Amino acid sequence: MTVISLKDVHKKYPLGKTEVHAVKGVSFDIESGDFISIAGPSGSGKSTILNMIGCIDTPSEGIVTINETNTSDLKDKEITNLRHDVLGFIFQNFNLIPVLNVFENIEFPMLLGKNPLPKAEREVWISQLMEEVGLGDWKTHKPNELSGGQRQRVAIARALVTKPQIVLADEPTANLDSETGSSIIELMKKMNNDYGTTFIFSTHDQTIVDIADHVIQLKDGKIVENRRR
Amino acid sequence: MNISKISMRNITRQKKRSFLLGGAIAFGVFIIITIGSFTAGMTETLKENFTSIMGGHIYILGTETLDSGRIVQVIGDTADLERAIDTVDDLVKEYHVRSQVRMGEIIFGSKSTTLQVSGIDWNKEQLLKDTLTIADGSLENIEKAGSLIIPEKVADKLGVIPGETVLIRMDTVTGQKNVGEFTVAAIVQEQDSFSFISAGYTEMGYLNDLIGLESDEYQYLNLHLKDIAQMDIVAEKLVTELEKTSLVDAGDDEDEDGEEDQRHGMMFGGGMTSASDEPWDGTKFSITNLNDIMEPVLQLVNILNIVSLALFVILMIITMVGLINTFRMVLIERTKEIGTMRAIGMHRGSVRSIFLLEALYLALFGAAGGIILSFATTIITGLIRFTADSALGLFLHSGRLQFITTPVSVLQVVFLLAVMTLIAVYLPAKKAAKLKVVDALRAQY
Repeated sequence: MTVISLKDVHKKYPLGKTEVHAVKGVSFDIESGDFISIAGPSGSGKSTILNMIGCIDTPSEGIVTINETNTSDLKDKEITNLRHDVLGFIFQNFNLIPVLNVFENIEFPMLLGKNPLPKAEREVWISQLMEEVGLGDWKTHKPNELSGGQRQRVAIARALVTKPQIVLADEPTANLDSETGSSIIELMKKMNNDYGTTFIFSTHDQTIVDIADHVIQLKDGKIVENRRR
Repeated sequence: MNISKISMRNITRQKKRSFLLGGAIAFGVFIIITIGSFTAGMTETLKENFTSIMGGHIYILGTETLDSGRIVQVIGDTADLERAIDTVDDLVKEYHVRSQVRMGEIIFGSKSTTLQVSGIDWNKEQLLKDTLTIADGSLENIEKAGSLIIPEKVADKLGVIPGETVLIRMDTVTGQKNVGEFTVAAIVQEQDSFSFISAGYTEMGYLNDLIGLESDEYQYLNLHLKDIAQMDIVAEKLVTELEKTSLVDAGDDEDEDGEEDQRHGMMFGGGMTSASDEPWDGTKFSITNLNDIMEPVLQLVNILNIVSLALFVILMIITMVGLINTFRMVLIERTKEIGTMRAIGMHRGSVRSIFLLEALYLALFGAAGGIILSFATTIITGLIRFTADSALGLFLHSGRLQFITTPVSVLQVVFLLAVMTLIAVYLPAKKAAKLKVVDALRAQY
């Protein structure tokens, strides 16, 4: 089942008096449960495409649909709800809330919804996630008390806590050493298998690209390879 | 729940900055609550002091003209007055009658000084007894004829102590000279800095004999009301009733030049046994109430309140400018965090709420600090005993400053502060809420 579809998507940015054409007519479909890598060198348009899929940026031309909904037609409230209900985010710099501890950071997205789970059920689910990402003993620690790998694990748990259909990870291993980076990708893969969540991650690291089931290779804002394994 | 938690915890991120801002807010709150408590206490103290010393809230003075044309202070014909006060009887708690020697000369040995002496019916003036602060002697025998209470200042000047006998030279109501012998029963502290309250007190019947009044005659009838708020209404009603049968000087705007001053003067010992160009029959009544006497003081209180409010507003404006700047800085510092929260599903309204709540908590913490500081200051200052002849004499209650802080006045200040804070932070909060998610996530902070 197609969950995401990009049709002839362009993105142009104003840069001073000129215009940067970051994405040039990109089209592809993503199926439910895919573990996809969007790969390419810096400036190839990976993050821009992820931002448009994540509804935090809009295409200059073309259509991005999520579950057959054209995201350009949605108002801010509807987009926010869509981001909350359907998408999960993992950032390169982890982007945890510094004043919240590990448990609270993971719990945070759940509390933003209209009908959060009862507290007891929430605690069971978060504890399970914390165990799965290997942070069972770090519940009350603040982000500044964690290593980079641990922070990214918290971010993964936070991205999965609302049981989203799709998780977007923008260069999730860029700020980690190679060993930790591999473990993070393996963790994401495990979550993909366990929960059937669609994972889309951008990377320029070829060793990580190889783990993906579906690779979309970009260069200068265009797809140069769209390969399924 | 989380929004509130994040707002609260955000305050502790920059402890020094929060402490300085909260401190500035606390200082403003401290100033306005303390001054407000002081003025409220001062007003109440003055009202209490006046009420007890003057013997009530409404003062009815009687004057008559003799055949010679001389004006004398006496309520000779009480029938009209009794009929008038019957109409307000249900609003009156106590009636006090008094006579008075305004400019007596008290003599002890070779020393003398002036003294105003009030004749008191001690059985009916418990409030006055309670207000007097005894420096020496006692009030045990004050009901005995010739017992005299004098202020400390007079006692010091004469070198007299309780139990000793003094003479008082005085004018009778008809202007003749007379001398009476008194025994000093007690020496009391000055009640405040008004000279007219630096008065002596004695039993009314004994004083009446000396000034030429019958023992049951009096010069003033003072009404102590059940509810002080009814003062103007009762005074107005008395004027209306008395005007039906008697001459009344009601103290309204129709007063001729200086007539009101003259009436106050009579109340406070200015003296009035002069000749009249136009004699009248019967008793002419003059009605004054506590509000008339307190008017200059209330004006002072109002000025103080306005000054403190202005000071508070100025302090708050400065603080609000600080708040605006701080939250603009906070907006820059937390742009990425805002982007993250928006990306994972936080609505714009919640982002705005985080900012507003954070500022509100800061203001409320500051307000709590200011209130605690104000309470501590007023309690400690209220324990200090001042000498009655100090500059603060006017405001002293049993030698101490009285502060009255009402929950309503505190809530008003907190509400005003909260509103000002929310207005100040609204723009940065709105700006934070309107940030584009993608731009916020790209921020370098």
